Amino acid sequence: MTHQDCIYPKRTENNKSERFSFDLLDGLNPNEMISIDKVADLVIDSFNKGKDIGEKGQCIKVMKQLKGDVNYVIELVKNFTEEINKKNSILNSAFIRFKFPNRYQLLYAMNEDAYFDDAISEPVYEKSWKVSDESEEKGKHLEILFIPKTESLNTNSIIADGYINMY
Amino acid sequence: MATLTCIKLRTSLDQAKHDEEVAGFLLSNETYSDWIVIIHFYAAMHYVRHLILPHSYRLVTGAECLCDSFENLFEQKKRDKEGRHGFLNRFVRENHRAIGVKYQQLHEMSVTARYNNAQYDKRYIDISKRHLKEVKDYCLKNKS
Repeated sequence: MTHQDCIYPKRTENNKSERFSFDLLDGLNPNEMISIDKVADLVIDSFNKGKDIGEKGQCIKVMKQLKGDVNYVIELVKNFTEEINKKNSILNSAFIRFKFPNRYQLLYAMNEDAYFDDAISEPVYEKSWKVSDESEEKGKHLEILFIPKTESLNTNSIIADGYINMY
Repeated sequence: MATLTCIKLRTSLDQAKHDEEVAGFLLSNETYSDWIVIIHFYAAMHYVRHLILPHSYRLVTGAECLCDSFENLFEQKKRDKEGRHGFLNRFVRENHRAIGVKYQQLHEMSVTARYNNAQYDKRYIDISKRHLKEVKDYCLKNKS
């Protein structure tokens, strides 16, 4: 091992920065020379440690974001349904489908007669578009669809398409 | 040597008329009610494409951008993770609100045919036919 292959593990202003916040040099004697291979091992260990912490942190961040988004959408569905059903109870059931990271598709089964009655359904569509636009402004993509509630409606087919039955 | 077959591309208007003819052909037999509703939607979709294309808009830089195909328009204007049909529903309601509900209902009825075990009675066929007529009339009237 030549002198050029070795370094002194001394702390400098540079390696006190955040990049070395995993105490890369801890446990080493600053007066002892260590090999380049040892440094490489330390750097790789440090990288892996940082990667794990970074991924974990990112994961927590994503989970937090998802939880917030889901709560927002649930609240929105609740308010929208209540508002529409206050006048006429026409929204019979709701299904939701999620596309990572922030797109939600909401599917309502609407009373069949109401669905085909322009006077009733058009204001509901107008309201749903407004809700979609508002959620868009908040960075959540919400698409609201309606289907007529018929006797032959097969909820298992809807669920098989990736929807979750909300109520 | 392989023979090349030249397929003449249909315009959106031609495709819309073609779809409408197919729906008319199937109308003689209610067994295909689900397909009639689906074809009515696709005819409407092509009338809408005929209406909106080519589409020009201004970029932030002020330059004019021209989309001459639906795929091009979709790529330029879609939102994150938005599908083609969802995009067109939104585009129609944002730019042609008068047919927004009818177009979305045609889409919904076609998509959800399978949720009803593909059973649509004559009432549905009449409604989808009426919706298609409204969309078609609007598109042909407003096409510049």
